[in-house]
Amino acid sequence: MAEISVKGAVSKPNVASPHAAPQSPTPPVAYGEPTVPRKASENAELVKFKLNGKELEVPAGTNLIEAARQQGVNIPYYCYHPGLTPAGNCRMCLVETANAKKPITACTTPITRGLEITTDSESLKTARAGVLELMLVNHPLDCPICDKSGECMLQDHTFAHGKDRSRMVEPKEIKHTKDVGNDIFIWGNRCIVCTRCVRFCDEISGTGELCVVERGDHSVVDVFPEYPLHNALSGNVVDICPVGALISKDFLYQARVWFQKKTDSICTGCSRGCNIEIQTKDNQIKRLVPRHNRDVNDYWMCDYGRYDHSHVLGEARSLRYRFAGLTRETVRSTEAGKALAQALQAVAQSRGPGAVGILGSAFHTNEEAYLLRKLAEALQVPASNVGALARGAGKEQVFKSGFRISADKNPNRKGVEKILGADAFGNAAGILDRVRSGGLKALLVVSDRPHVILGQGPGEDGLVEALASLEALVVLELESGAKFPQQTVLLPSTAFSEKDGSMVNDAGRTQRLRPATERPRAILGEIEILQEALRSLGKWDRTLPAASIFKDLAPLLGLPGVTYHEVGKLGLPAGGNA
Amino acid sequence: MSQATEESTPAMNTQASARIGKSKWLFRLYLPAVFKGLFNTFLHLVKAKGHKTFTIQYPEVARPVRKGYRGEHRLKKDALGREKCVACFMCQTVCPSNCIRIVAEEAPWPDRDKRPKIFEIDMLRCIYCGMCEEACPCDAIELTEKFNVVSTTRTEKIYNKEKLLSN
Amino acid sequence: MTWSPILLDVIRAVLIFAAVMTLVPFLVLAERRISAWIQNRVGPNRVGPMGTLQPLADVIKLVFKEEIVPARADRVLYSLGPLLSFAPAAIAFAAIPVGRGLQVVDMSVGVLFVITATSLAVYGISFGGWASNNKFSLLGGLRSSAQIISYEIAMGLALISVIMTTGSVSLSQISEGQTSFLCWNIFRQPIAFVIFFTAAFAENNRLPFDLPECESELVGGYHTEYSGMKFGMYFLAEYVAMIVMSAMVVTLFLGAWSPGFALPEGLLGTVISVGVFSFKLFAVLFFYIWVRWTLPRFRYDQLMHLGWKSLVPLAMANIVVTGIVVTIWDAVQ
Ligand code: SF4
Ligand code: SF4
Ligand code: SF4
Ligand code: SF4
Ligand code: FES
Repeated sequence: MAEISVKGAVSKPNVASPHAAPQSPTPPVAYGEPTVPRKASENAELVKFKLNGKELEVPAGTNLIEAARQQGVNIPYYCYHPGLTPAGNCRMCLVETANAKKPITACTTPITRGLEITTDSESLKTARAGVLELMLVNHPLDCPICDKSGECMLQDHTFAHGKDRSRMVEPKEIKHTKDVGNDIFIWGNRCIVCTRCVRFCDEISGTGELCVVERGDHSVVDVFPEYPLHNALSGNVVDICPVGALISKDFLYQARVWFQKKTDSICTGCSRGCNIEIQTKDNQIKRLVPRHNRDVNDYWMCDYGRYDHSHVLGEARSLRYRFAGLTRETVRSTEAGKALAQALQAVAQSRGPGAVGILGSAFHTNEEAYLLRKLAEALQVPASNVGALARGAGKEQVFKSGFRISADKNPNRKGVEKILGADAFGNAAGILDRVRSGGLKALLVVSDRPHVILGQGPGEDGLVEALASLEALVVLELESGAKFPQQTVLLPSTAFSEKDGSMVNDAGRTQRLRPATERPRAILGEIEILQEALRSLGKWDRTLPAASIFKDLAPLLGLPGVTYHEVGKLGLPAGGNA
Repeated sequence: MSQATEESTPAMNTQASARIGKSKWLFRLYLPAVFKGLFNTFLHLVKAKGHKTFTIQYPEVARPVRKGYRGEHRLKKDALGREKCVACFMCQTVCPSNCIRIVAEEAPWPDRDKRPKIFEIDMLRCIYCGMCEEACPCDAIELTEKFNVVSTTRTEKIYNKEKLLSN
Repeated sequence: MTWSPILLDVIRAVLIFAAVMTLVPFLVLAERRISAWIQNRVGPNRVGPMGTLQPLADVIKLVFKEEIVPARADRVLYSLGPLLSFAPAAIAFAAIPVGRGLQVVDMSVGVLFVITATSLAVYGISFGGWASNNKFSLLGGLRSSAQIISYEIAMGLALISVIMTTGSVSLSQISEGQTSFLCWNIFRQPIAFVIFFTAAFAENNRLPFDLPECESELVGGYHTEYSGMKFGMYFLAEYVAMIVMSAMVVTLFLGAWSPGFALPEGLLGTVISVGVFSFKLFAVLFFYIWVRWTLPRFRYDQLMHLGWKSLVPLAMANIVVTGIVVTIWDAVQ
């Protein structure tokens, strides 16, 4: 069974990766995490086993839940998580084998030769209903106010396997509801003590804050006094909690999950490019959750990226157009493009192209960077005058599981280097120096927060005055903050959740951003303005979507012939092997 | 004469065809039937033969409300006068015309976690189906017998929490 | 002194026009109240005492309503339609004697004048239907033309026999001729009366012959696209035409202003004659309304059938019989 083969066995020379075009229909996945076998060791031999009387062949050691799921057989579970070691404590995944009298837990059963498994006998149905009934003995009727409701495994399983009414007449056991960390609450009543969260803190973050306290039906997850759940991966415990016991303060009562619109994208918090899902409601980002990608972030993401989305609709967002002496709320893309192109072209003609500088940033998508490169070519700006701004380095963090938060906070440094030139980031300082010395007469800055770099940062003395003395200054900014001189052409730009484009992470993997929110007030994006500018210079035909631009720049990324579609949900490493 | 008009249509048809058979030309003249009709409407006009006016003079005479009538919504209050609603969004989820807007917040009271910060029903979009009432797990919303739903502006018809609580 | 007869004419014209125009709103009210009573309802009873000011409220509403001209309508004809339908109806009244010696112009060809004027109304309706750029309006207009042409023939033929009996086409002479009760044309020409009255319903687009507007198939027929006072004009025209036709029925068949016996000479007699005429007019109008709320609408083929195959032959036969009788009568005398 090729689908269940281990990592490496599926690698093909073809860039059309198995993610883009699955060879066989994917079996339906009902609950929980995506199906990816982890525990089967490399090059394991294929063994035969029987599932509900059907003979199957998988690599030895494959987890039974995963093997069954590949066949479309959904074994219900709680405590099993493909990213964690199995614990076998919830008893939901009971299955029967031919050679054991009592049912066994599927999550702790690797496939061995000749195993005969039954998942649908009558006694198993009774067993599952019994397990669920016991779980619900102390479980509150909180669904109406529980943020997990709608994606809660307890709801799903009770609906599918449970009884429709409670026989419990005793008062319910009340457990604590408290703050366990900066960003997280625990509703102890809802906890089913699956220990996923505890294992996460032990195995993945390696910080070990959480533990199970008390015994029997008093047992509940808690933290030690003075050691709150406070690590850079803590948000993940909310995602993996199968019920609504761990709740994110950020998302608390924000929206019901079934109303959320979900878009696959990537995080732009650091150069790792963790795969995420952007969940929005009413065009507002409600939360970001990790999306499984074995080659990048596994099942996790860090809290810096997770909670960094308020700027998209923030106060500082720059939404106005300022050119030709007017400040306006809406303009046609042709006008904005023309304003940009004319300002630069006038200087290029009067002073020569050497007097024009172009500063991009490491927050561009490849497509935007490519358009900047085209603009530089159209104006014949020398390569030393084309640079890119980057954010300063942060702290690198590596966790027990190997999960790494990169020190480089620039999501597309690699891609911009490939497109604007390897020394683009090195050029930036030189360009700013030439602005100060008066060597440059025109400057185009396209950056998300130009004020952080231009004229506001320490050691930037004289830059503000120098900018004022430029003959032409064009700024595309995401957030306003800097006081640019009056004659500056100011245009808005787009945030990560509004962009359609690709980025290259620090491992050289090309991944896609997908637009999840509408731009506020339907502002124009860099991608339109730059294309219009090129068009008014006679170097571009018509406004193209990112997919078409990607076709031209793919060779620069080392992906010749690869289409935007083929980059897929999980991205492609340089060279194209999935 | 008036009895004939009270009879059901098929019977009348049979009668009519019988009459056509008997005296075709008289029937085709239409006039006897016309006069019969005129006589009948005249009886209605002068309210003879037990005919009476059915109109209910609405604002002065209130029409009796039938049991199960679905009028304007009310958000119910508990014993302490607080809304019973816990902002579970079930009504918003079930509402077929998508006219309920809820924004939740943390409740300031110890006995519950969540309450609606904004609870709005766009009464102009509402079809008074009562699904919200059925979906509510807390029995917090109900359709009252209020049927006088007029207003002079559109914004007035977007009922907020206060209005719904006092309805 | 030459201007005084003209002045008198003008005064009479204004008086009669004003009277007709005042009558219309109350006719509308009467229509609504009577229809309500017939249908066991109450009818408009809110505006003014017993709803008497309802017509005024209606007019105010119509005047203030926005006038919408549909896109790609023929603007000139669209505006002309209501006028063309209203004006002839109003003009027709000029020839009708509303009391002894009381008429705007005593034409020697009064009957022909009235018939001509009223049949002009079809232009208004067909113009409106055509100019609205709406298939329903167009169909309404077409139906109206066909219907009015068909029924005018029957009506004209019925009139011929009346004229043969009275020997005059002057309305005042026809009126004078019916002073005594037994001389009323309804007794002398009962068949012509029935034909004329039926055709009058059709001429006025009244139920059971309201096919040009019939709501159930054509939305509103020729006035579907009209709103505001343009619609009001059509409405007005319909009722004025109804009054004219009723007045014709009274004058031609029901003894005009005569109570059935000779009136005293002088002013008193004139006043009584006006009262008698009005009474008869109201009775006929009531009958109009009564019929409308009693009879269902004819199907279009039935309508044509009735007009061409029943009324026209009947009217012709009536002429022949009248001719024979009149000849014999004259011979006897
Ligand atoms: S954890 Fe699941 S079952 Fe429990 S209250 Fe929350 S949604 Fe309902
Ligand atoms: S808090 Fe959630 S993840 Fe942790 S043990 Fe309880 S149910 Fe499991
Ligand atoms: S009555 Fe029906 S339409 Fe109106 S708010 Fe309730 S669910 Fe929505
Ligand atoms: S269903 Fe009831 S409790 Fe839930 S939000 Fe609506 S009114 Fe409130
Ligand atoms: S999933 Fe197997 S015991 Fe919990």
